[in-house]
Amino acid sequence: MNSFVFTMRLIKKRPLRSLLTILQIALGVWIVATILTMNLQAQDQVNSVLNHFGENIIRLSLQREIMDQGSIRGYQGFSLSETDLIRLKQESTHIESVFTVEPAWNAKLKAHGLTYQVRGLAEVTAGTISALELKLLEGYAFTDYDQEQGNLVALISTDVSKQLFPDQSAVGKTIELESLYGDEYLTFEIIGVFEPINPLLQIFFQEMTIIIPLDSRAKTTGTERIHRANYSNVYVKSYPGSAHAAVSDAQVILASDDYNVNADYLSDTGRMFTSAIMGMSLFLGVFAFVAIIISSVGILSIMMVNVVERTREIGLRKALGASRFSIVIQVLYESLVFALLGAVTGIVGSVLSNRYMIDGLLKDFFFQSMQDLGQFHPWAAVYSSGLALIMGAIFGLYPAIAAARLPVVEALREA
Amino acid sequence: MSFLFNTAWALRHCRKRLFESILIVFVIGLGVAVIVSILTVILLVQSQMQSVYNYEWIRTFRVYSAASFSRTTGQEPILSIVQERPQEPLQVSLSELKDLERSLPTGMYVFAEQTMSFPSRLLPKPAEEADETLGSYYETIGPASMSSQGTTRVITTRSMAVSEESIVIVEVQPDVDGTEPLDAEAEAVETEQQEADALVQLKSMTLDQYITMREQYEYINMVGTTISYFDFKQYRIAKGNLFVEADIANGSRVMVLSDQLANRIFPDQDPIGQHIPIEIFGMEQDVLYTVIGVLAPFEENESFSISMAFGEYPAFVPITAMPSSWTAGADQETLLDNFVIGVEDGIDLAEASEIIQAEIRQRYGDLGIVDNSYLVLTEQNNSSYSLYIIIAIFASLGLVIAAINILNLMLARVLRRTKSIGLAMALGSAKSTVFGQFLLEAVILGLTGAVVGIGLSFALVKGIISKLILTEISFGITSIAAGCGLGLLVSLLFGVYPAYQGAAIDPVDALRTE
Repeated sequence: MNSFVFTMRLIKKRPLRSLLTILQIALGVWIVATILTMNLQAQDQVNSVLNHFGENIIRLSLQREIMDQGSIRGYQGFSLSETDLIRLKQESTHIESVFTVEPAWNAKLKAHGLTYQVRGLAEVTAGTISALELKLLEGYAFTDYDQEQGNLVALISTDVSKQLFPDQSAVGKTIELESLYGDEYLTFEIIGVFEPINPLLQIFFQEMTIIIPLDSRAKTTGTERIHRANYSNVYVKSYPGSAHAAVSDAQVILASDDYNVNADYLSDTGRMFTSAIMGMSLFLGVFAFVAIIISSVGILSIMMVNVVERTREIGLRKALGASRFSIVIQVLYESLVFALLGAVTGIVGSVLSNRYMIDGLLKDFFFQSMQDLGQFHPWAAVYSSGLALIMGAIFGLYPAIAAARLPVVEALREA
Repeated sequence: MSFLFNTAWALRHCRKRLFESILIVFVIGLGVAVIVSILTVILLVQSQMQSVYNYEWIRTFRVYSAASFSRTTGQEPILSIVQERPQEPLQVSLSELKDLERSLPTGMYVFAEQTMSFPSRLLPKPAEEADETLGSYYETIGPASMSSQGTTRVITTRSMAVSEESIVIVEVQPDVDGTEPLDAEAEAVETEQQEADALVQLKSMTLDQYITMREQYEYINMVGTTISYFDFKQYRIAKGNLFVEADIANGSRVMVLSDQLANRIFPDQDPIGQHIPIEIFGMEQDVLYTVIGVLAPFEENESFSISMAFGEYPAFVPITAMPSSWTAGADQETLLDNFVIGVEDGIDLAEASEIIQAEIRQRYGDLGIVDNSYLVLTEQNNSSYSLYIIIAIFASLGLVIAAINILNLMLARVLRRTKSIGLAMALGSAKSTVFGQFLLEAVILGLTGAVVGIGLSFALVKGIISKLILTEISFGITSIAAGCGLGLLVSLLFGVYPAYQGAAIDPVDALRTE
């Protein structure tokens, strides 16, 4: 404690110099903390999905390689049927649920007399809603019964709700969606509003902003509703830890000489995403690295100046019997205090600027679909201040040793 | 003389605190290096973007029929508004095209341009190439089913290798009721418009026959057009003649070959007067076109954009001789639903765009849409500015820190030399001399740092970045000037205050204090 007060007194003696030194370090820490915050927040969001769904969600598809003279020339995909869904669920003990998500690309929507193009309209089985643990903020989800009856009901995300029904509850309102044949518009009742789905899930499945029961858009006036008997993909949720067993079960159940049963794991997409985040952080990290090096050299040079200026004092202390070690500690302590004060300033600055830097500027280029990347992340603060302290220690060591090596007699003689 | 003396004085002081000076030079060098490297890369990107504006395709404005294309506006994340389409299609006769060209400023050419590709038996693929050049296509194959062990499955996707490395899979929506096997039928959903046109004629051909045809033969890319096209493109004719107005009026089946097509089909003969059979799916017999001319070889820089637009073997025919025009009957009143306005090099594109939009609006109202890559690219360029802002903030941070360092160390030097400054002043040194000396010292350090930085960045750009992005990066005078300028600016800006502090020293106080 005594040495801290002593160091603070030394620092206060040259207020402008100390302020500038702290500012230097703060800028270096600021950039490191900003980049780390974004990285760690993005990683956390990906990991939260991965930890939650683990490796349990698998996409199954049937595919045949088109071979020509021993090399693969192309691929042919095959549909899965409703029977397949039922068999998968019934015949495997490792599969918790089976569901499908069928994309409806570029479907059109009419509301308030305007025509919109929908990004992210998905036709799903009722099981999808529970399998993905969709969080409903209002209303309720549709069920298997709705799907069987062909009820025209829809769930919309808060984004869509904000856009179509600003400042009012969307539940109970209606939207018109283009039918599967594109020949008419069907009126869907909105029965629930859900929280935006995690971007990782949206990459694995598809963007989902409006969710309707499977086949509901196939309804045509006057004729019997036709089932979409074929799905391009089927998704399987396995019991925890048995993803691979579930896949082998599926491979046996769907086995045929004509095609292979392909399995894509959610965790693979997660890993892809993680490495994309890393790559992006590395690119920005180069700038941060240079900045932190420059500010460390700043500590080094200013500590050298301090030592030179205090040559006489140090000589006196040594003449009075101070050990070399205590001199080293004193100088090192000073540079560490600089580093600490700089780190605190830098982290505060980063917390204040993150809303603009990350949520405003950086996110647009890399993770548009992620929310709140600029939120304070404790580990970002710990890592960046730790880095500052380590750099302070390393670059303060040389001036400290130089001070300790000063010959007593010459130091005292120095004017 | 006094400048030289001052420089020597400043240098001596720098040497006195050698380690400190080296550190200053080092940090400024690093800061400058980052900025100069980034600047060099950004300049490269910018100049490549600029060079795009010289391409011919960016100088063309295509006018479409609004009725056949739905446009979306707004950049909302979820939904974008689809503008109501007019019911009536755009219909422009060939004589109207000429009229439009007359009313536009000189240097703007109005012409028809339709392209269709046909595999031709005159262009068999060399056997050894067949594997690699499968052709860059992907397709969506519509409802077709196969039975497999009692279960009927629908083929949902089919993709063929584009090359050995890359495979494109395009998904197709399964048929609603896929249990009923349908004839193999190709349905172009995602393919380009021109391919869609060609594919419409595919009905009578089975899928396998079609794929075999595509695999065995290369394509003739037929471009149906009018006379102004050649004026705009400035294609020169090497042999024979271009087609004339009468050919367009009559729909004569005449053809002008590109140099590479002529060389491929008629390596040893005179192509003029020869007949080129075009196989059109669904037609019983081949259609014969008479060769009337051969174009001069395209220049190196042209051939890339031409092969991008028309494939490797383009051939030019009157617009009225295109298969799509046959049913309409051919004369000056042949109607088109799209055409192109080409703008000569040297005319400002932003201005041209406005003139063209106004003219089209006046003539055709809402029926026509003007589409141009220039407008799209300009928009994209503008949106990348905020990326530049981020990079600028991050890149300049190092130099800012280095500048603070200079300020700090120069202040320390002034403090340390208080006594000698006081002495110099007592002996008659002017304040301005002291000020100048300190400033000069800072500038020397800053400039040395800039030189080091430029050297570092030269090594970085040439040695690492250009190897990473596989592009030769020229290290221009702009980068060097910017580096020196930055070093000078930083040292001047942050050297002024310490120099002022030095000059403000009172000799009496300075000499009295220990």
